[in-house]
Amino acid sequence: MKQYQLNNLMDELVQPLFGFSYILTGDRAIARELLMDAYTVYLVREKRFLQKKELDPLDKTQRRAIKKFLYHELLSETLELAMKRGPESLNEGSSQIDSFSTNPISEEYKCFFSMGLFPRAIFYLKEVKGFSIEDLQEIFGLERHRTLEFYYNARQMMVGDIESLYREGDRA
Amino acid sequence: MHNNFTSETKKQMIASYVNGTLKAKDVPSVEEIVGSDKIYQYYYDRKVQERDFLLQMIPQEKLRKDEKTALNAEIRGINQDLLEIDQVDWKTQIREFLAKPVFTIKF
Repeated sequence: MKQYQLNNLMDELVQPLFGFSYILTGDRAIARELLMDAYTVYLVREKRFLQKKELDPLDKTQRRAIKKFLYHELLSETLELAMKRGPESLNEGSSQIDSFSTNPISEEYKCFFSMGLFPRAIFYLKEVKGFSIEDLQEIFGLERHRTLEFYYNARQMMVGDIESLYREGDRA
Repeated sequence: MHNNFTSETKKQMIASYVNGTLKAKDVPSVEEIVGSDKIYQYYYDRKVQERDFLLQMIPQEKLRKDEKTALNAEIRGINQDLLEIDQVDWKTQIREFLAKPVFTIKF
């Protein structure tokens, strides 16, 4: 793959990758930094592979496949790096709201940010980006039952939050 | 075939249909269930509303134009530092240039 081809692919991927990076960190500046670092780490490790990979500019199917591959690889790299950097409580999830940022988190997103990084990542990619469970398994190297567990636990937590809101509404 | 399912199974299938975890082979059955019974239609609507509400509780941040430009420039810089310089022959450059439309009109 030529340098300009990688530049073009990254131009298209930078927006969705930023969205993902943001839901992990909860801060725009830290999200941009995390994304850049994850990309650099990935490129240092895989540059030989990427340069050897032939990309025919006229083959749209191949381009789509490589773009998807790169997207998945970078999602995985970003999460891995976020897990290394974030506070330990973030990885498994805790009852308190936790993020990389010192800025206060908007009220409506508090429940989402109180989840661990894995459930957050899986829930976001599944609900917002429409990823399949199989894709998520592949990206995060999880078994199907583990992926579903993260997904359903996250869902349960969010739905539980909605129900508590309903209850508070009834009381008021 | 779906007549054999219990009410609970039908509801679980509808919930899976809405959150996209249902197997492709079961999709027609669920669509038939929802289409033919008002109780399940109501259940389906409720599940869709619940999903939409959940989506509102997930942040969906986007890069601003200036941030995107800066990030792309940074990526180009990293690529330039880490990858070998492109050696594209003039025939390929012309072929690739001609393959792309110069401008497009959106109707």
